[in-house]
Formats: sequence, C-alpha cells, structure tokens
Amino acid sequence: MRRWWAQPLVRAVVALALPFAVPAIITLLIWALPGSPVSIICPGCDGAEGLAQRWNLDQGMVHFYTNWMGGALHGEFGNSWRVVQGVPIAELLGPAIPVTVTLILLAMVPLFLASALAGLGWIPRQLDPLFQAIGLVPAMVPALVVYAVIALRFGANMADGPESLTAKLLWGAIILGITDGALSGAIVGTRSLFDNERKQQYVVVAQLRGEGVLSNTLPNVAGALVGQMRGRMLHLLSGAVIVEAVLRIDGLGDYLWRATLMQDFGLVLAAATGFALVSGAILMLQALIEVAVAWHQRRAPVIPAPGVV
Amino acid sequence: MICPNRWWAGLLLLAIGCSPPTVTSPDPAGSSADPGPDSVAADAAIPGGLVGSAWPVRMSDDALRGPFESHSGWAALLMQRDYPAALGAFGGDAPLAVGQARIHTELAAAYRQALRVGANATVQVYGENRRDEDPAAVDCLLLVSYVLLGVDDPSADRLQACQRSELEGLGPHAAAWDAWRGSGAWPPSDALAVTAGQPGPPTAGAMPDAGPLPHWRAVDLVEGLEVQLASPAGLLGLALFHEQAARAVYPQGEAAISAMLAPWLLPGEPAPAVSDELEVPLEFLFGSAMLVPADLSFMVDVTRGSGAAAVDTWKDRSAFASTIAPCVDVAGGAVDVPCVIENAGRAFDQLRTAMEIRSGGEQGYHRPFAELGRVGTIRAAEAVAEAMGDEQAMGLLRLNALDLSIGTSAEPHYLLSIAAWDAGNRNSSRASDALHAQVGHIPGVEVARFPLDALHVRLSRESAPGVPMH
Amino acid sequence: MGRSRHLLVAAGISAAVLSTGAALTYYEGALPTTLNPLYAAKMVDYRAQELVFDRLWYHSPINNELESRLVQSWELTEGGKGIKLELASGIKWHDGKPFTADDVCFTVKAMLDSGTPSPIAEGYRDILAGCTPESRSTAIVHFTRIVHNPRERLGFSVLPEHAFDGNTAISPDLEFSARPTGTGPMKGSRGTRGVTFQSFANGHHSPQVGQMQLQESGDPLLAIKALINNSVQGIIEVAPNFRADVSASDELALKSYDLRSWWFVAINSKKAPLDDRRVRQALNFMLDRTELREKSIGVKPGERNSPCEFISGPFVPSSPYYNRSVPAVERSDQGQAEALLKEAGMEKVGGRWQFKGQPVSFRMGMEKSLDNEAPDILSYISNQFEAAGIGSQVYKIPPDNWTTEAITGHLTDYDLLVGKWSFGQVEDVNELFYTRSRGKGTRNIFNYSEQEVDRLLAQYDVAKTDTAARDAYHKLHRKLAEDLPYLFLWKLDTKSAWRTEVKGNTIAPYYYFTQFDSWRYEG
Repeated sequence: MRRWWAQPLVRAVVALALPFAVPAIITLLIWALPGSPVSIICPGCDGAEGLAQRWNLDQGMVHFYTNWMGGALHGEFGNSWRVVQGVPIAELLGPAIPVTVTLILLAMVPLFLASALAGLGWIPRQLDPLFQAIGLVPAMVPALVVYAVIALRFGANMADGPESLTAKLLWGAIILGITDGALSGAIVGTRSLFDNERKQQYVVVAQLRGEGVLSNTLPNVAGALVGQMRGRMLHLLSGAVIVEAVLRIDGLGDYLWRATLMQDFGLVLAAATGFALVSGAILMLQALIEVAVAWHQRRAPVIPAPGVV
Repeated sequence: MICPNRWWAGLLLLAIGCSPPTVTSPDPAGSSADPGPDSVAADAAIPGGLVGSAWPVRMSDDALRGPFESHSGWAALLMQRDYPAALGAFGGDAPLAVGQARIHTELAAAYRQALRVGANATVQVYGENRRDEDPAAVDCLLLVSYVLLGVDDPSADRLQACQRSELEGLGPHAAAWDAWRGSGAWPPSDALAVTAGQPGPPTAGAMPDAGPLPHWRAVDLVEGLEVQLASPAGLLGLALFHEQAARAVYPQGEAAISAMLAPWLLPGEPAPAVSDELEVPLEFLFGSAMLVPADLSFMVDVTRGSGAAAVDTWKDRSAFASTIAPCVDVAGGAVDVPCVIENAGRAFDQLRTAMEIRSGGEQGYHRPFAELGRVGTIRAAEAVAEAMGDEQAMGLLRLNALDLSIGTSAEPHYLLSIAAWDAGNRNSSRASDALHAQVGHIPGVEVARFPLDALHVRLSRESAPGVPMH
Repeated sequence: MGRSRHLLVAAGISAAVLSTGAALTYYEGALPTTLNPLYAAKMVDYRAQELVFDRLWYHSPINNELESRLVQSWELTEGGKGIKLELASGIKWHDGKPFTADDVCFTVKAMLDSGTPSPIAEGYRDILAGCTPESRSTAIVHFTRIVHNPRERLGFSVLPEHAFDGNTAISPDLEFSARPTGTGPMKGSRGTRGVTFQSFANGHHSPQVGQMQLQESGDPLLAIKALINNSVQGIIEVAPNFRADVSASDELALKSYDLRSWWFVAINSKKAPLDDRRVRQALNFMLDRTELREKSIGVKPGERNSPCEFISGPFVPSSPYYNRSVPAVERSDQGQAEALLKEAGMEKVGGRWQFKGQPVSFRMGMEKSLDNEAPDILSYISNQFEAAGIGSQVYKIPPDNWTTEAITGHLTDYDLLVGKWSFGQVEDVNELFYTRSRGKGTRNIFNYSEQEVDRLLAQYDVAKTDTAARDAYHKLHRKLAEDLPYLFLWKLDTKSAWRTEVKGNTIAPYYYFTQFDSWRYEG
C-alpha cells in the first residue's frame, strides 16, 4: 500500500514515452532493412540523391529520427511516399484517427454491456461455452463475408460516402466486439473478477449489514476492471488493423497495414505513432483511475481483512 | 436487401442469397406485347414483313434448320470460321456445291482484303515513309500497289526508278501492272502471268497457298542486310482462283456470288449491276451478316452503284436500309453514329423476339444469329458513310462493328478489310494482329505480312520513346 | 439491435438510390501510383493521366491520324533540328491559369533536368535538346539531331510551369502526384481508395461526363457482379473466364483494348541451381502451357481465335520482331526435363529432385492483380512443378511492391516471378534484359546479365536501318529462348466491359481515354 503510486507512475511514464519510443524502434527497423529507402519513393530512378536529402535519409538514422520527431511535434509528418504519393500524411491521418476511435468505441459497447451484465451475474455460466465457441471465430472470416456483402451492395461506392462508411463501421464494430475471444473474454474475465471479490469477507459483512454488493466491490475491483478494459481495448486496437484492412475502412489500422506493405515509411511512422498515442492515452487513463481509486481507498476507513497488515 | 435474421445465419444468407437478382433473360424489343414477326411495333427498326424473311428468323424453324445443324461443314463455318474444315466437309463423297461455293466466295473476298493490306502497307512504308536504306526494288512494289489500289502515283518516274532494280522478274512484273493500269481489262491476265505465286486452274474444294515466300530478297542500301519483299499482287491470283471455283461449282448462283463479292472488290474491278430481284440461296445467307437477299443488292448499290442514295431506294426492301435510313442525312453527307448503334440494337432485339416466337421459346443460337444481323447493319452504315465521305462516322462505325465481331460474328474478310484500313492509316499494330489471326487458316495471306512488318518496324523506331509497363 | 438493423436497411436503400446515375465509376486492377505523367510506372497510371493531361501530340483512335489539341500549327526549323509550335488559344489549366508556350518549354526542360529522376524523361533525353519560348503562344522545341516524323517524338504530356514555381527538378513525392493540374478533360484527385475525376470544360475539351471515379476491383467475380448490378459501370480488364458472361448480357458490352501484352515467369539466374542454364531449360519443359492456359484462362486446346497465344520470346507473335522460327513449348516434356536436370547434376530421390543433397524448392511470386486475369495461375504453375518433383512456396505481390521491388531488382530472395509486360507501338525490350547499370536495365527483374544479350541489345540501339534493328531482335529472341532468363508463357488480348448506358466510349489503343470527350453516360 505504501507504494500505491508506483504502478500508476510507471504507467504514466510509459504512456509519455511510447510516442517517442515507437518511432525510434521503427527508424531502427527501417535502417536495418536491406536497400535504400529512396528507391522506394522512386524505383529505378537515377539521380535520387536530392530526394534523399529532402527526406533526411542521407545522414543516418539519428539525423532522420530527430528531424522527423521535430516535425511531428509541430504536426508535420511529411508527404506519403507510396500509399497516396504526394498527399500530406497529416491530411490522411487526421480523419483516420476519429474513424478508428469510433470503431473501437463502438466495439466496446457490446463489451461494456456484456461485462456489466456478467458482473451483475445476469449472464448464466451455462452460456459460457457458447460465447467461447463464438470467440474462436477469427475476425478475418466474418469480415470477409461482410466485405463481400457490402461490395455487392455498394459496389464501387463502398470506398467513399457516409452510407457505406456507416455500414462498415457498424459491422466492423460488431465483428471486433464479438470475435477473437473479445466478448467471451469480457464476460468470463469480469465475472471471475467479481466472483472472486464477492467471496471476500468484507462483502459478506456488507451484505449482512444490508449494503449493496456492487457498491462495496466496485471500488476495489475498479483498478483491475480498468486494467481488463485496457487489455480489451488494446486487443481491439490490434484487431482493428485486420477489420479496417478487410473492410477497407480508412482508419489508422488500415493505413498502418497498407503503409507497411508498401514500405511507405513516413506513413508507417505516423500511423504507428498514432497507435502509440492512443495506447498511451489508455494507459494514462488507467493510471489516473488507479490513482483515483487508491486515493478513494486511502480516504475510506480501513477495515483490515484477516491476515492482512 | 440486407436480410433481417439472426446474426450468423443472417450473415451467411446475406453472402449467399440476398444480393439483387441478375437479369439474364433478354429484354424483348419494343414492348412486351410484341405480337409477332409479321406485325410492326411502333419502334421497330425492320419492317414486319422483312423480319419474317430474315434468315435468322427463318432458321428458327427446326425443320429448316435441321439439315444445316447436322452438317459439319456449316458448323465449321459458323462456329469456327474454319475454311479448310468447312471446305473439306462440303466436299467428300456427297459434296454440297452450294456450300463449297459459299466458302470459295468468302475466300475470294478475304484474299482481296489481304491484298489491300499489303498494298496499303507498301504505300505507307515505301511511299509515305521512304528512307535512304530502302532498295530500288521497292519502287516496283510501290507502282504495283498504287495500281491495285486505283490511286494516282505521286511520282511520274516510278517505273523508271523501278527499272534500276536488278532483282530478277521484278521489273517485268511492275511493267506489266503499269501497262494494265487504266486498260479496263479484267481479269488482268497478262500482269498475273508475271506475278509470283499464281495457283493452278480453279478447283472446287482446293485451298492453294501463295507459293514460296518471300518473292524477292534485296539488300538495304546502308548496311547491306537482306530485305525480304513480296508483291501484294500475288494475292490476286488466289482471290480469282476462289472466285472462279465458286462460279464453276455452283453456276446457278452466279448473280448471288457477284453480289456477295461486290463490296469487297478492288477499285479496278468491274462491278455487277444492281439487281432488283436477286435470287440468293439460303445457304449464301445462313451464318452471314446479310439478313435478306435485298441486303446484298443494297450493298452492291452503296459500294458500286448510287452510293448513299441507295438507302432511300432500298429502305422498303432491305433490312439494312430500313434500319439505318432514319440515321442517314444524304443531303448533308453525314451519318448519325449513335442513331445507327441504337437502331442496330433495336433490330437485334426485334430479330430475337421474332425467333423466340417462331421457335416457341428462347434458344441458344438466337443470340449469335441476331448478333450477325446487328453487325451487318452497322457495317452497312459504315459503307454508306464511306460512300458519303464521312470519314469520322465511318471510322466510329468500323470500331463498333469490330467490337461486335467476335465468335460467330468474326467474318475473316471483314476483319481483313479493317486491317487494310488500318494499314492505310499506319495503324500497324492492329493490322498486324488481324492479319496474324488469319495466317495459318487462310493459306497465303502472309504475303501481306512482308510490307506490314516493314511498316511496323519503321513506325515503332520513329515513335516517341516507350518503356515496357506492367 | 432492431434499430440498428433498420438503420442499416435505410442506409442500404439510400445508398442504392444515391449510387446509381451519379458518377461514372469504373474498376481497375490496381490504383494508380501517381498522376504525375513523368513517373507513370504502371498502365493504370497512364490511363488515369490520359484523363487529366493532354499530350502534345496523340494518335486519333478512329483513324490513327496524328493530332494535337494544344498545337494549332507547326513548321520545321533549324534545317529539321527544330520544330516551331503555334499553340492553340483559349486553353486553361485546371486552376484557371492560361496555357502558354512557357509550359511547353518548362516540360521539356524538366525532362532534361538531371534533378528529375524520371525513367520516362530519360527516354526523351536522347532526342530533345531544349526549348525556347518565342512568344506567349509560340515555342520552338530543339532536337539533338534531325529526326523523321518529329511530331511523333513529341508524345509527352505537358505540365504547368506555375505549379512547380518554375523549378524544373520535379520529384515524384510532391503533392502534384496526387492532385495534379492538367489541361485534360477531367481534373483528377487521388484519394486513399480511388481517384475522383471532375469534368473541366475548356477551349479544347467538352467532356460530357460530369464525374468519374476509379476504384480498385479486387475479386473479379465480385467486380462482374457489381457491373451487372450497376454498382459500377465499367471494368478496364475483364478476365477471359468472364468475357462470355459479358457478351451474353444485354446490359453490358465487351470492348477491345489494343494493348500488346505478354506473360512470363522470370527466373533468378543468380541463384543456384537456376544459375545453370540446363535447369532453366528443364523448367521450360516441365511447364505444360496448354494445361495452364486451359485451367487459368479457359482456352481449350485447338480453339480458334483464342485471345491467348503461346510465345517463345519477348514479343507478341504478330510482331515483326518475333522470330517465328523459334517454336514455343506448348506441352510439357518430362523426359527432356529429367535428362537436363540429371545433366546439371541433380538427382531424383523418392520423386523429389535434389541439388547437392538438398531437396529443390522454389520461392515463387506473382503480381497480385494478374490473378484477376488468370485466376489461380500461380497455384497451377506450382502444382505442375510439384508433380514434376520440385517443391514451391507461392506468394502474391501487391502491384506497388511489384513496382518498387520486383522491377528494381530487389526481390532477389525469390526464385521465380510471374508477371506481364505491356507495350504500345514501341516494343523496346532493352530495359528488360540489359545488365543493370546506370541508365540501363532499369526493368531487369532478377538483374540478369549475359554478354551476348547485351551485345545484341546494343546492336538494336545503334541500328541504322530497320532491317538491322529487326535482325538484332530476331537474334535476341533466339538467344533468350535458349538462355531463358524468362519462361515465356503467352500473349493475352485485353478486353474491357462497359454498361450499355455508357455511349460513345471509343477506347484508344494503349492510352484508353484519349477520346473521352465523346463519352456519355445515360444512366
């Protein structure tokens, strides 16, 4: 208890460091790959030295990294080299971040609901095998089916337009939230968390006092719940890459996927940093919640459990 | 529509069955209440009486179509345009003279077009794009080409220049054709006598080739490398062979043979008279792009008679003329291409509807048969545009007809006529492709390949730089 | 859940209403990499750029006449080493600025600028010497030497000087590549999923289609379904398997697209055991092209007028450069293949070939979009090799990776790569087979190098006569058929499919949209 601040502090530091560490790692990887990054922009071109200079690729990875970070801090990420050659990356990713965030948040809806119902004990244990069976389905499979349906319905217009985007986001969120063990994990994980907590003596005592179980257990499991939810969101973030790529949703995940395939390093850096920022934000949120819970606990009267000092 | 159902079942149903239905059945022309081939719908392209006599509709009668379907010669002609196989099938122990005549006539047309390919290519490469490296021999071939095309030679000293060539036989060959020019004699027997690759006496069922090729080997004037040359006149003998074989094997079809050949004749050839009452056996129409006998007369009139005025003359008798008449402005000298395409489409629908009614339901052969009618209509409009000098319309109609000329509609003599036009326009790529498609199937057409290849190499080396693309 | 279902249905209905009769939409096998004509790397780039830019001179798709929308009149100067162009008036760029002689000269100078690392510009540097604007509407283009048919050499797209602030060193990563400014009938903008084109009425263009959209097609079956359902109005390249369906539909039209294309399997002759010519020749005999063609393209043996014809060298069979005395291997000959492999020191153990004691297995790749034209061909090739005793792993390579890595010779960890080359009037194959060095062999996939081949290619380059050029390529054909840097497969005709509501759609050879002003959409 003395070091209640340690974990939140570590989380906060990692959250702040992630957006710097991720591009550093990617820069290392770029330099580790064989071939010249300049040949990616201009395959088969002679006289590409000017390009190398413009893109800070001519003086080593530290020079490249520091220049890139400097620009990124001002919101300048350069132009896309391959995915949409010539278009400013900020212009591509600007609209992509809210799309991915929307997708994740929508996907969280069934998870939150299921978690709440499971925590309240309203989802019978007997249904767990069914949810687990559903969870075995990888996101790719229903995503491909939905893609075919949407392609047939919208045809070439599936790429643009609010109507097709709405359909893709809704279906994408459903797929993300249900498959790949997301839903089953939320149900089983939350239920077991609450079940374990309900077994604590203070809960029994509270029940005898006529108090609510949830009001007593929730503050104690809040930290763990947030941890679980953070894990779910990270799981959804990684799944979002697949869903966005298959359904052709112009989100961060899809840009990251395409940029990696096409070695559009500027876009890879920016998209990965975007993911790192989102991850960091979630991590920071968890840290703050942990601090709030710990502060609330420190202010509440202490009833030591048997055997606990 | 997205099916409202349980999640997974719903997704599966969406994938399998909920996409909008595909329309596969043809939409009958005019209205769904089209009563039959002999009545006229308000928007009919072909008058009702004519529709019933068009060969595709007549052939919807099983009894009439049966003998054709069961004969391998007609299958080879229609499905594959395989002349050797068709000729072979029409020969044998029970020869079908009218079938043989049909094949020979088409071949006679095809060879004439191949000749035009070679002549046009020769004019373009050695006339319009002459280079220092070209040997003197090319003057001889140029002379012959200008004569065959009926075009004035820009050089008055061509024959003299030709005589500088030391290639054996080339000088006399050119001189003979020069002497024939303007004589009006047909066939040009004296000139053909000194033309390489002439076949023997015409024989029904035979398909001679052009003899040893190339006709001459010269050397270029810069590096002394071998230049292979062939005279396009070498193909005229083959054309006449097949024409005479057709007339000999089926003498009662003389008028029909002449009418069929008329649109494909060379400029110096005498054209048949336009006949009001042309008798054409069904075997000459079946599987061709002509719908009724009057269409042949109409085409003779357009290409060799009164030109565009033929549309008005024949619009009550010829399916083609009636269909394209609303689209032709004779006075203004223009053809409305979208109108022709539209009307040809309506004629296509009309034919299919009529065939369906006659055969009691849709059959697999209806579409390809009707397609021949559509292609023929567009080709007729193309001929009218050419007669009027409307080059733009002619070109557009040609491209449209070319797109439709696939499968059973791919008549070799028509495709070779496009190749000839292309060669004259220096479009050597498409001309080469079209000629190549016939090499090995129509023996001897490779004579035209020599000047065409030379043209293509010359043009490709003088074009804007190009790189291979993926 | 009921509410979201209704929402979806409503969204679907409104999308159906909105999606028909609006923009004319068509499918390509891949999206264009760039809309900058200097950096076209794929055919889809050329086609898209044809809508946005005007080439100084072009061939009419109707009668092949050399025409220009930008030049009103011209005359030769400097004894034939120059051409004076009097430009047409009233032409504007898509941003409203006037088109002038400065733009023509800027384009020439940009192509000559060594800071413009464009492979396309490289081809013009041999011919163009410079350009002088004489007045606002008159420019003189200078050639390095007297050339026949000088207008034929000026087929490049003109770029706007003001868009680059006069800087003639044009790099490919500028925003111009995605949002170009041209004088063509349509203003283009490359997005993440497609390209949008907006009509721009001009003095020399009067497009009748207001809006166009280019999308990537993906699965060919879905693409055909979308075309039949009118979700899309055209497909540029229709797989042969689906052409019969298109022909049989009353709502669709199959159109010819003149493109000289041939397919190949490139062999990595730098890697053992493929560095042994006998092994390459054995592979040539292992492949049953007739079976491959039947399975992947649907052409039966002996079929007349098929769109797919076998080749034995790097040209289409109708080309005068094709050496017709070199026969194509149409059927496999396992006996000959085995004999060659044994001669090369390989042995067959338990039905599998081994080289130096190790089972032979190839890493095979293919440009992904080719799967749309010849479905599963990569698997069929792999199966044939497996049946003959050689293992393989197969990979599909995205078009952009093909451009950036395969063509640039970077995919050296592959053994075999299946691809296709397309040509227009010019069938110059030098860049495919020259030993890769500065300015040469820029498309040499596996960095193939053979002295005799280099010599023949150089012979073609310096040929003074047509005969010499043709002879050089005939010899090259024979040499390549022996040495086999490629297994030559076939040439395949290209056909497009358009809905019949699209009228007047004359398709130009190679460039496709040259005659776009006549296109109308009555949907």
